[in-house]
Amino acid sequence: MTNVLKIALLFAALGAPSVARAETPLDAEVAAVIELARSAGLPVLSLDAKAREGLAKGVPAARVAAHLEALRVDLGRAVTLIGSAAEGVDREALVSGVAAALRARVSPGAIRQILTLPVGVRAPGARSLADLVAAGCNEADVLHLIDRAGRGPNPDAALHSAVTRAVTLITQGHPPDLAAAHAADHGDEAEGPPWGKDKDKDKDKGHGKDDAPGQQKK
Amino acid sequence: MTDDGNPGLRMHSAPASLLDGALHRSQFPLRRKTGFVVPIALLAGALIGAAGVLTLGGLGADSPPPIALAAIAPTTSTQLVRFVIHAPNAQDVRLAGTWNSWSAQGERLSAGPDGVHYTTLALPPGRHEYQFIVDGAWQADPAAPMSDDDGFGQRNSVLIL
Repeated sequence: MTNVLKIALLFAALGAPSVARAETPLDAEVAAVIELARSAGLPVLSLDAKAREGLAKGVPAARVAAHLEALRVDLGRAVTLIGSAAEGVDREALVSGVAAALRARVSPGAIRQILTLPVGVRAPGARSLADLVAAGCNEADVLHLIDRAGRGPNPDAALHSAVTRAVTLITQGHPPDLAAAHAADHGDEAEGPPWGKDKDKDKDKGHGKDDAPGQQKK
Repeated sequence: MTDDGNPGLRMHSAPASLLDGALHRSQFPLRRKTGFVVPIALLAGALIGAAGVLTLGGLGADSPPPIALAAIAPTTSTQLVRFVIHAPNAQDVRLAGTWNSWSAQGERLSAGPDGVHYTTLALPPGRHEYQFIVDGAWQADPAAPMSDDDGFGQRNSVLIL
């Protein structure tokens, strides 16, 4: 009987959420938020990962729980917005990406447009939309970038290339709006944006030799 | 770069003095303002040649010792990323992020000359968040291209491969 009980507990543990199998158990308050999300049918991997991040950083359990609660609400809003568009998609990734977009104050209309993309690029598209808008890119430009890449041939590679290009341009100091717009049309090119090529023309307009139009020296 | 309307992510510029030896992606031209987290394209393997060792540019006369990229053996689904931080007084510098579940005992960086600490990891394509742990204190990468609010009052550095 004891062996049967042990086997039953083993199977129960295997079927339980990762929080129950963790090497370092999560605080009860934190685990409760995750369980609440799981029981509501929300994807919980992102919550579990964030909980462990907080644990690793030594964040008080109450603060972790409070943040997880906010994330749980965001996930719920994302699920509502996504509706049936999650069929055939990595649901965890899509819901997390849309939740991130909502936190970045992306409009629901823009998110709905992402949800009309081919199935394979909806999740990365949502995540990219969140990241680029939060980085300062214009929502319309980012939508154009993602939409153009996501509906073309080889959408996965095209989207990755375009997003990486935009990030690189922004890192190099180019205005986010211009970077996103340029990356949308030149995602595969290795050269810099066109405004850096005609240096003499830019000088006549009062721009510095190596400055983008948004970086005039005062 | 400000983020008035979009508080989630911020851009940073790397100190020029720390970028001199950085090896950048082969498909993008070298730029002074590029972030310090440098994805090393797998094409770099073509430069290794018979010796099997690629010496990455250093930050002065005494460069970080050569690393044997052949020993890392990245797969076609990963990219080599070199993480570097300037922490001249630090005794223990580590790296933790989404790829290792934020383990505080994560990757320990090697100490090079001039207070520079570095490590190279093979990471899969995708979005990664990370922080350095400098003598027990968590901090974002000051030269990372993007960062994001971690929800706990700090900012995680964001790397997209």
